[in-house]
Amino acid sequence: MGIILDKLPSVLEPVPGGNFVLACLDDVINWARSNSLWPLTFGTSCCAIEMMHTGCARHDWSRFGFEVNRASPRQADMIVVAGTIVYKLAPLLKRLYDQMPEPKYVVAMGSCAISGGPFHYNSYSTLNGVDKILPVDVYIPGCPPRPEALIHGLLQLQKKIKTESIKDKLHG
Amino acid sequence: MSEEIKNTQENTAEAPQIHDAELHAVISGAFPDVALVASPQIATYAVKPEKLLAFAAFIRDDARCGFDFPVLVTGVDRAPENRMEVFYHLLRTRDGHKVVIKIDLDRANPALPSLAMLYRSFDWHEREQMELLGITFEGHPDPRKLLLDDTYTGYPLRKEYEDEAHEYIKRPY
Repeated sequence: MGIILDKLPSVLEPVPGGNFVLACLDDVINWARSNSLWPLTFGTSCCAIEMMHTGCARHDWSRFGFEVNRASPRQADMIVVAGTIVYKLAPLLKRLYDQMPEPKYVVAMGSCAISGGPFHYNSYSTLNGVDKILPVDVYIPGCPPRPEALIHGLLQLQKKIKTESIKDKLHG
Repeated sequence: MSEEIKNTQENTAEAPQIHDAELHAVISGAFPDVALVASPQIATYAVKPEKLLAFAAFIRDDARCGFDFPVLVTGVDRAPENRMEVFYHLLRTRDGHKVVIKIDLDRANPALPSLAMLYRSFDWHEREQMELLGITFEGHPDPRKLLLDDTYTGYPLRKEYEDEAHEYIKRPY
């Protein structure tokens, strides 16, 4: 994948018809990426309960390609930040994110991950939103969001991935 | 409120109720200067910090007391009265009786001996009180921070607390 993703865009773009080939490649790559997003097993509070519920038989996020929760960040494609992040945990979460291979996506699930939620004011320990340390792709409001809301947010993430292009890296 | 009820309430406030006469006799026999404090539910004994280790060892090891189960440690910041309090809750598993040890501390220098080596479960409880209220537990085997990150300065559960290291947003109302 290294050659296709890193070298091919710069070679094909100046060639006549090269952009057409790249666009077709984008379709294939984005189709593969968006339909097989493996989440990292990470949950810190009540949002994690809803996330587990989403993963189980009744709602079953495998229907949309969120197959298996990986216990290792090296095998994960995205991280659902489900729950409150405190200052003690923040460096560890950042390290987990840094260990994930590209491309990687972050979903902020619930009020705490978005802004600190009920702990936004007068809290000596809570990080006010996970976007202070990670680049968040999708925000899902709720306290906690229902499984339907989480699935909706993940479908939005798939939609976002489908708009990406391997040329994005070339042009920064 | 009728006069009669008021009187009984005042009486209970003045004279501490003895919950377990047998236990009270044992403790007051061994430690005459340890005072029983008025409390509605659990027998509470006020102990001086320097007597704490001996007292705790006694009520753990003496067969007539036998408080073998550590329940919790609480710290209270009584800022208006310029003092701090620490409560040790203990329980004995043979009949479920509870006892509370209360220690009064000076707010300028709150220090007391650690019970973590007598009751190993008090290790984390004491660490929590250390970082949140700034109470020093002398002789603690592992006095690191427990719940807060290592960059923390200050003691967040003290009344005058202001966070300087982190983003601390006060309510606008």
